[in-house]
Amino acid sequence: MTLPKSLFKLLLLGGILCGSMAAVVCAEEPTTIKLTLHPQAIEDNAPLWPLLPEAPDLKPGNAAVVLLRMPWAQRTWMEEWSPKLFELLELPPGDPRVAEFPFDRFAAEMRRAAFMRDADWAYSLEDESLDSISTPDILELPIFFRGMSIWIDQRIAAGDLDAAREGVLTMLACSRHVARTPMSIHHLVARGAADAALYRVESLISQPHCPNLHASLALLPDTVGDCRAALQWEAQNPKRLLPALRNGLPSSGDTQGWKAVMDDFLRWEVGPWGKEETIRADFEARRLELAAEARAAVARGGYAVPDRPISEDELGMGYLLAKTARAYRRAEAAWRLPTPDAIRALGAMNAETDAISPRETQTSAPFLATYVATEGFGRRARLLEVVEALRDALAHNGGRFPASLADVPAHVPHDPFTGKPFPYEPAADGRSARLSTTPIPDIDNFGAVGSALRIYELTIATE
Amino acid sequence: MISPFGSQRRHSLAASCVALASFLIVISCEAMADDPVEIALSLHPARIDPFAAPPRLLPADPDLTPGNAAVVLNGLMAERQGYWSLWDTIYDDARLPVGDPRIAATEVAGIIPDMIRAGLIRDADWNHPVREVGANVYLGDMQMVRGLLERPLTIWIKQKLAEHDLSAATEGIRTQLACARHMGNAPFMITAMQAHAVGTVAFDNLEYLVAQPGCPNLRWSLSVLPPLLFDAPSMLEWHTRLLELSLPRLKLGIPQDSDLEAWQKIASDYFDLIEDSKNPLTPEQRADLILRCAPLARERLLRRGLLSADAAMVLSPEAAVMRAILDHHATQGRQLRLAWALPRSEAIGQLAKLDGLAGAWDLELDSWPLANGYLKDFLFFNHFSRRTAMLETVESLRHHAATHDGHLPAVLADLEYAGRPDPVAGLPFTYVRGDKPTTASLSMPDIPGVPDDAQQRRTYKIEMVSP
Repeated sequence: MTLPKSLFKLLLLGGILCGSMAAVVCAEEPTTIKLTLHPQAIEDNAPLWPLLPEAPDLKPGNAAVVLLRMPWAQRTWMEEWSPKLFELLELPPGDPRVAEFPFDRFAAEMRRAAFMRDADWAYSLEDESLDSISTPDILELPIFFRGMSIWIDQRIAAGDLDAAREGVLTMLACSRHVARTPMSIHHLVARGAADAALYRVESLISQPHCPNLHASLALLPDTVGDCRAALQWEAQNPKRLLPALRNGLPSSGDTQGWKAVMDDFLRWEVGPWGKEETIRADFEARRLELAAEARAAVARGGYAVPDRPISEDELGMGYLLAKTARAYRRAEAAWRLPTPDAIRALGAMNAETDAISPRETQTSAPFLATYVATEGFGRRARLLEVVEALRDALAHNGGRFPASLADVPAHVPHDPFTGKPFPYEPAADGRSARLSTTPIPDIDNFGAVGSALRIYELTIATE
Repeated sequence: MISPFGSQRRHSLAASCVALASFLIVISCEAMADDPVEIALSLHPARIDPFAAPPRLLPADPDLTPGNAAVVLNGLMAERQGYWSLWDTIYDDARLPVGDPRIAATEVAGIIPDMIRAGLIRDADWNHPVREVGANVYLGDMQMVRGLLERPLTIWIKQKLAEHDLSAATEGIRTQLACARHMGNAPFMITAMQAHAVGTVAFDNLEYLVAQPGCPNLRWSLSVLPPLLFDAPSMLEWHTRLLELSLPRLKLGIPQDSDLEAWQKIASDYFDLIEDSKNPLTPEQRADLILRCAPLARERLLRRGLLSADAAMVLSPEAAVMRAILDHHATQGRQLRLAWALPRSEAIGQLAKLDGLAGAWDLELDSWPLANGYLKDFLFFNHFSRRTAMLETVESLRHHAATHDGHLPAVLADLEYAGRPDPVAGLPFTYVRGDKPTTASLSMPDIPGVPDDAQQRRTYKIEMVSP
């Protein structure tokens, strides 16, 4: 598989893959989930049920090698079972077709990878053009994450909750490995896999006698990987995409050097599929457009050009490269902010680029989409933490939902996206409740892509 | 309560990890000073150019090269034995102000290129035998690396500042922070503290840097710094396991309550770990202490439902005491991890509660390495992000002066590039413009819920100098 030719497409692809892993992530409407809860107190004395391996339990080794080997080790399995995975995922855990799904060998391998400290995917980003980098991990690994989801369903159906929990741990640890690549598309794939693991947590905590996972969920991070390194790599995309930039920017006044950069860029923008005559016409139009944009930026102030005359290519291309670098710098700084502030800052970047040139939203919109997609993991984890705080409250409250979250004895986290409590509405009789996330205006443009919009309709199990 | 260790119990424990005590003392004295600090900053206006790339204060991922920085840094120490005779002089020189002639006269340049190289390496695996010996590990290497990063490198940075080579000075600070991050890769709380002690020195140097004429505006450079120089969840996971890893018999698993020999061995190992090696207890004193602690330990196990009343009657004193200590440590570790996972404002309240609980636990044998208490340690680590945000505001002020005839704003709300609030207090920095439009003071706000002696207040007395 070869990477597509624009960042936007690249990120969109990530979204599509996430969607194929966990379709609900990319749904336009909030997802309503019915959860039947069994009261279960938080036990301070019981050993913690970890949902990610703890640092002292990790062993030396490169998990990427183990994970990438799996498709080749079992070609027969791949041919027979991979086409059936979506169908199996739709079945209830107790269905006999789920029970006969053979995945133990892969589950053991994934578990081995999960407990490895490192995952070095050995991308040759410095040596290869971005166009020629293949990403087999994106194509193949989701198959195994789906398989692992079904394996967890099998354990839940068999009542082996500890094994199911360990399956969740394996999925989350392997998603963390996937997020160790220096490209944000992998973070979206990782988020999709991590989301699939959280679906299994929903199933798990609905089982009778499932220990309360409040502390385990509280210790989950907000994301399965740090996207900032990917941003730093992607900020160098122009250099990796445009051969004329390989040795750095041409010096000011180097007309031929700037023309070569501009030509490379226009060729890249049009792609290999454009017709020759269309390309020529497009080239000239785009060249003029970029120079006009640069002049407008100079007129607005903020962007400076040398006092002496420079070529149209240097003017237009210099501005575009400076603007792209600036967008990545701003995005990186926004990533460091508290989540609600980061969403506002990245939303403001979108609004600004919309105002300047609708075309440019193609280079900046994915920042916000990627941010909410990756951070949405933490939002879902915190929401599930509230569910577990409610299960604890049920155990202390005579099997009635508390009147408000303020009455819950355990710690109740706020929605990291808003910094406010999750909306919670108990029924008058205390036998059911509704717990949800709040839509956020800044990310409405993306529907619910990755933002983890969810509504839990909670009822109490009748024993 | 009679204690064989008295007020020195924590340092006594640390003494078993040869270098630990000195780290605690040095870090406590220097980096965790509670006295308010006031810094006079003479600043020059500097505009934020949104299209120019400011220097990074930590290397970007694409700039890192494969390798193990710990090897380079440890090799540096082994190779440069000659420095040891100059160590005290270098220590004193590093504290001199920029421009002092004694700084220019100190020869340190020979070791700088390797330090810069280490800063640009991606990984740092210190290979401490923590799995094998737990806290009985020798950490002298980390103390020496810390010394190299704080002293000769600071002298070099100050030399470059005096020569007005701001680019080299920035590279020196970047190296300090990058190597501090490498130190943060070691799995101990104490090494994370050392990393942050180096970070503190790097920030002192940054204050010198931003005060230099011609220094580019570093607002963006500061805004992308991480809040901590180590992976907190990973460090806390190790910290929680450290006691268990330090007691060799536990590698075979938790013994049966009836296995007297095993519990005696565990108790003996525990004494070896926490005692002051210069004044060890006699076997009789140890036995007396165990007997004295056993009733309280049994009471704890019963109260927490970890022991039945019948079992308590026959449980040996060693088993009771050690089981209670292990349970206490595991519970505290879990609460510590959960508290650190909270938003900072909530974490402060939880950690204060934990300090209270730790204080209330009155078994005489509960010593375990907490340098200054849960809350104080947390505040020490998070002081880094407070200083980052404060200097970011300084840079916003420099931009304002550059676009307003060298004048400072009347209030922070007038800034074009708004400064972040104090990330720990959750409140804006306290800003008061002086009598003249070119002077002001900027202070850290008090952190709600934190005692006065733990506030670590810092104030900049700012004077904007005309270009």
